Amino acid sequence: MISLNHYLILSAVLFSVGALGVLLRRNALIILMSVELMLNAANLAIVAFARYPFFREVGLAAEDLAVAGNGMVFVFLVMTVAAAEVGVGLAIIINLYRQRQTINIEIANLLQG
Amino acid sequence: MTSIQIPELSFSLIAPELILCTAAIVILLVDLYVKNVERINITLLALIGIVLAFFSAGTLYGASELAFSWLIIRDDMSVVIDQIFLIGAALIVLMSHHYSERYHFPYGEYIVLLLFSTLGMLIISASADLITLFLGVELVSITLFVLTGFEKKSLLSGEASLKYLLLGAFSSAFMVYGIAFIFGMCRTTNLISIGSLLSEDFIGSPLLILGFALLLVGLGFKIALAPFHMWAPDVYQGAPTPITAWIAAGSKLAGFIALVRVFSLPDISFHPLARTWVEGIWWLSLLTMIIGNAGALVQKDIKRMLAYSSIAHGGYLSMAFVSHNDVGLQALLFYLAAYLFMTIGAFAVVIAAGRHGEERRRISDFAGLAKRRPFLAAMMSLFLLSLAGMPPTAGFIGKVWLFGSAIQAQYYGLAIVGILTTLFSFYYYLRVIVYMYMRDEEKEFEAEPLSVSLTLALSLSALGVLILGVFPNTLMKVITNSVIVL
Repeated sequence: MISLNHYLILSAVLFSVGALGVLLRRNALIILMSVELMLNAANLAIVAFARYPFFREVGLAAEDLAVAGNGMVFVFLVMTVAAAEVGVGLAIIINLYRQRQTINIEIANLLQG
Repeated sequence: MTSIQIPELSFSLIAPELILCTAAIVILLVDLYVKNVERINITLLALIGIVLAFFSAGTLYGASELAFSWLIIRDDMSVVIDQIFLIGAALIVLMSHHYSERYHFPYGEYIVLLLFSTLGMLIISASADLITLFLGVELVSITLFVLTGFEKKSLLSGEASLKYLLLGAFSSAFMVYGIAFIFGMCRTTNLISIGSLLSEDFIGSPLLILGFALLLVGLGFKIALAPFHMWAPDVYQGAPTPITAWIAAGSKLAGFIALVRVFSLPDISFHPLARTWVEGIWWLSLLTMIIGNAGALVQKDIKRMLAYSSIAHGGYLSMAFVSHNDVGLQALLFYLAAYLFMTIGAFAVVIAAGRHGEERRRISDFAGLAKRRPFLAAMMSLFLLSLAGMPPTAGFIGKVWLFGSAIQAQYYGLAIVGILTTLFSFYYYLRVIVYMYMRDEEKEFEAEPLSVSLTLALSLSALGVLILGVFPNTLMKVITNSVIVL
């Protein structure tokens, strides 16, 4: 039987994989993808929490449905924000590529001090 | 069958936000459909929108209401903060008008993005729910990513926007993950419900503490608290200067307001969570003050120096959360207003000192400025002294008030570190003044004349710094009243 904990553990694993990707990879596109993975891990946790009462085998209260609705709407908003972030992110990465013909972030090191 | 109740929509409570949004959309359309719009017209449109929003916010004093199914809170604090944001936005628009003459970037779009980022800040200050708060923070961040990279040909600008984007998105992920745990444990995202839930009984779940900690990390990135400050100097250096000023002043202010909204939840001061939380911020504040001031000592680029100075100020400001009392909150709001004026002013001088193609950003470039351009040098000295905290400027009053709140809450150690690092900071602020007044310039440099808009921005910031310094009561009264209402 899959319980809430399973979802939370999966989301923690996904989040860690994403965070490691951001810290270890040097390709700007892959870093952006890793960030998306982190956001989706958070989304998974939110959806799991929103569905939490459904995992228990007691009757549902009206309030449970409200909580579920609240959480799922929030997930949609997070997805929208993530899409906007990727849109802007790709534009910035394309701009970087036009300037330097690479998207390796190690090369982008003019700003130091 | 139960009837569906449509919640009441009180649009008048979000009038400033609506006006600002309308102004941005009007400018977007004008820029799209009218050929060859003069830049001055766009600036005027933006200023009209900001001024209207400012006055409509003024009519909302004393409202103290929750609106839109508890997503929006309209209390006096949000009104004061809205007005501070709008003044800042007006100053940035004035600076940008001058700056965009130098670099021909698409001015209409630039102003639209600037207004939308201001809109995000207004939403943060009025949010009563983690969802609105998150959306506000993201609106500010995403618009600022684009604005940072607006000088498309500049390598520095492109690189700065990439760094800002990657770290900004990274921190957003922490924020969402934190909100997920808070939502899971409290079963609501509403800050007021969370507050009353926590004050009733302590949900002693480690997941809840983890949630708040992750949220703090996310917001800590946005306000550049050490150890999450690494992006700040690079982004500040590479971004177009008016945008640097807006990131330093507006976005930092917005991050702090978000923290205020989350962590001064009603009635959790006695909560065990509050203690854990105060301890965490204590360390962050201490680290930030030390790292910010130490970093500023060695900088050669004035924008980087101001970036570290801004990090250090983040440390002073977060002291207010450690003292966790009314005085701290009032001091925080006052200092944020003072900080906005002095930071924007200092960056305005940096813009004025340069010209097209030659940005005069090294500190040694400021040598001999007093002889050549006494007005600029005087302005710069005023802003730097205020940042350092000399009387009779706004920075002095704000620092005394902030450190006072920490002493009142018996955090003597933190207050002493604050005072010591402030003394250190005099070194790097005064160094610029010494360069301006006592050194001769290395080679002749013919700067472009001051434009009306930049003079206006400079004088208004200087006026703000002086008024808040000499007659602090004007703002103090409003702030004290607004925090009591909370």
